[in-house]
Amino acid sequence: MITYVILGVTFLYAVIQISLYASRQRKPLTREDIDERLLAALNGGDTTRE
Amino acid sequence: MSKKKPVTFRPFKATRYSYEKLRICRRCGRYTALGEERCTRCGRASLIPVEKQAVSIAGRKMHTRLLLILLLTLASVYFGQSLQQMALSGAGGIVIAGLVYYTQRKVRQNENLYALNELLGRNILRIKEDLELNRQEAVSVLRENDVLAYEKLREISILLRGDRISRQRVALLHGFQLRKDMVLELEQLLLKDFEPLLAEYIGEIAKVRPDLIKDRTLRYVKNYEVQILEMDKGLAILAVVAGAAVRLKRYALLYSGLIGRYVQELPKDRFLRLSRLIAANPYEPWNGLDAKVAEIRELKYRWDPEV
Repeated sequence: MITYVILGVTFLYAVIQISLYASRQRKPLTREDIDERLLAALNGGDTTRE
Repeated sequence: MSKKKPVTFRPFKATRYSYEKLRICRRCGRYTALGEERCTRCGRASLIPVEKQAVSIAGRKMHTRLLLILLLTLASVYFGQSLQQMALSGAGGIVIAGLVYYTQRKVRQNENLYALNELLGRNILRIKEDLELNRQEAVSVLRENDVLAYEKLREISILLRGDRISRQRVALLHGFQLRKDMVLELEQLLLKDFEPLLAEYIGEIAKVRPDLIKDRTLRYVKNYEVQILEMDKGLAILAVVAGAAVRLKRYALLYSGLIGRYVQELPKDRFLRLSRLIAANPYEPWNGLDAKVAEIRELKYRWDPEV
C-alpha cells in the first residue's frame, strides 16, 4: 500500500512540475524583456538612452 | 595651445544586451560591470557572466527535482511487499522520471531565462550597490589615470544610465583630443539639462564624426540653442551642428528652422549639400529654408560656378 502511496505522490509531484514548466513555456521570457526590466530597475524606469 | 591630451582607448565591446556586461563572483556573490580578472572583494578569480550563473542555477534546480523523483521511486520500491509490486513501482517511477526529464530538456532555454530574470530581480539592490562601488572605483583612479577612469565609466554606463555618470564622462572627454578613429558616442551622453561641456563635445563630434549627430542630439541642441549661443564658441558649435544635420534630408526638413538660423555660417561643402538637397526636393515643406538658401547663394556664391 505504502508503495502505491509514494508512487502516487511521485506522480502528483511530476504533474505539478510539468504543469509549472508548461505554464512558463506558454508565457516565454525574452532576453529583451529581461534587459528592459533590469535597466528600468537600475535607472528608476529611465531606459531611454540606447 | 590646445590643452587637450591625445589618448588611445582600449577597444570597447558593446554587448547586445546590457546584462551581458554584468558578472558575478561565484564565491562571494559580488556583481561587477568592469573587466577585472579577480573579484575585488574576495580576491578570487571566480567571476562569471550572470547568464552562466543563471544557467547553472536552472540546471541545479532541474537536477534536484529529478533526483527527488528518483528518490521517491527508490522509496516506493523499498516499501514494496512483493517482487511484482517492487517491479511495478520501479517501472512507474522510471517512466515518471523519464517524462519529467524529457519536459525539462524541452523547456531548458526558457527556464534559463526565468532563472536569469529571478537572479537579477532578487538581487537588484545588491547589483545597484555593487555598480555604485564600480563607479566609485572608476572615480578613484581619475587623478592618476583619466583614460582608465573614462574606460571604466564607459563600461558601467551600459547599465547605469543616469546623468551623473554621463556628466563625469563628458567632463573626462573634454580633456581628450577626439579623433575620427576613436570609439566615440554621443546619444548615450545626452543629459536632461544644459551642460556647456556637453555642448562643446557635441560641436567637436559634429566636426570629427558628423554621422553621430542624430535626432536626440539635434533636439538637445534645439532645446538649448539660446544657452549655446551665449557660450564663447556657441555660434561655431551651432553652425557645425547645422552642417552635420544637412547630411540627411529628414533632418534638414525636421530641423529646417535651426539650420536656417545658421545657414550663413555653413562651410561651402555643407551649403552645397543643402542647396542640392533643396533643388532635388523643391516641393517639400522647407519652412522658408529654401528662400534663405537662395538668398545666401545670391550674397555669397553668386560667382561660384559650383553652387
